[in-house]
Amino acid sequence: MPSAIDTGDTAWVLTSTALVMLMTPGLALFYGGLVRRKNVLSTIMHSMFILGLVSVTWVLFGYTLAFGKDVNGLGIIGGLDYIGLQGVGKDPGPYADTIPHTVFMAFQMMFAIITPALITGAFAERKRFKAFVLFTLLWSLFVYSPICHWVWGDNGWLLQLGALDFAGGTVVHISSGVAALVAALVLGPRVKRESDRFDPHDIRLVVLGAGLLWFGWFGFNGGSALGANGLAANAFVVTNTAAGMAAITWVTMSWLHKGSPSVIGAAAGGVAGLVAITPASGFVDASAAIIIGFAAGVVCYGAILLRERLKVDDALDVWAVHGVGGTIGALLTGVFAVAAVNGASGLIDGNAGQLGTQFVAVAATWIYSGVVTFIILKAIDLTIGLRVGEDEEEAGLDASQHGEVAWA
Amino acid sequence: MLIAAFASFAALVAVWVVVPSSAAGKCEEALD
Repeated sequence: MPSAIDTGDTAWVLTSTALVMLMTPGLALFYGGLVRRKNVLSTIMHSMFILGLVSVTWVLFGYTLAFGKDVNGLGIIGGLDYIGLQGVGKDPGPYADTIPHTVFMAFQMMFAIITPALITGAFAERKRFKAFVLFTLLWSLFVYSPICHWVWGDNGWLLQLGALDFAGGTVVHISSGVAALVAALVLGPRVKRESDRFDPHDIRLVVLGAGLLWFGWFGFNGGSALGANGLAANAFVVTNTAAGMAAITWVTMSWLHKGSPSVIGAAAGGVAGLVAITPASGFVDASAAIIIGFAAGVVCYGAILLRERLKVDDALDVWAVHGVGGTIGALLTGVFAVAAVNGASGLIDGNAGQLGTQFVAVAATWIYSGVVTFIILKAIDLTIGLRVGEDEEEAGLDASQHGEVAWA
Repeated sequence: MLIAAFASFAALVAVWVVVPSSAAGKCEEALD
């Protein structure tokens, strides 16, 4: 007998879906402010085009591959039960008892949209638009949907293993962060003449974008409770706490390291904290959120210094914030999860084995995303080419790829 | 865990007390 729809749960998840949708334009502004003025539109366009593209591909085949009935019982990929959203209706589906299946699908769609958009910060200012479109299509199909199935889908192998990922530490942040690192390595650095500086062109946009991301994250994590309940409230509070702690920690790191409290640091630190708390937000309490935020601020800041030392041109530090932040969050979930929040225990609650399980989930996501992203990028490079020409890069991608400029 | 949370926050406060209050050299640069 189908369970009854709960109007409160449905209203909250629909609201959360809209909140998560707003994160992608927020990301567009965050990234748009970080690039040079000649590339602001092309950077914003990455996120906005993905908002359109994945809205369609998720309906057609993305959702069924991620959340369709497991193929062969191996927990690797979903079947075609829900292709074109067949069978996804107004009654509850297999993943949430009190909301329409369509609402669950739409909520997950917004995650599928923002994940490839996160990667775009790594290849900003030098990737051909056509190559970007093809990459996003293939990456969503061959990387996002499978990993989503492993962690959240029917009989997913990491789910069966007991890996904890409340709102997407592995599925969203590690997968995109590692893909970003691979993309930066495969594309190579931006052309840099002696007089070139890669300074952000508008820090106001960065702060506005970070604010929208922070706002939307209440839906990202709070909505992942799939109900208007105490678990959603816990996720809401720990999300805000970790973001705040990471923001002030990052500012302090920049103050110590560079001699001034960085405004960009406040924005980037907040995002790093939001990333790190994502997998943990349904399993830890507020004290743990402070420690997770602190760890995110210190370690992600350090990851940027490491990336600079290695001379990898991940233009907007997607790997350091999302890859490393997601990894910290996933591992610390295995440390700080307490049964009192959601029934799952980590190291401090007497279940040391959870940390090992988290490590397996992290390693599997790093390896799979890294390898498949590399294959996709190489295939595109060999066929249509990944990078714009040097003269196009010099002119800026706004003019050379889109025929428009942001600031007349 | 609560002690660790307080300790990490206290570490930040301690840094704020001792770090210089303005960016060295940036003021003169801006005035120029």
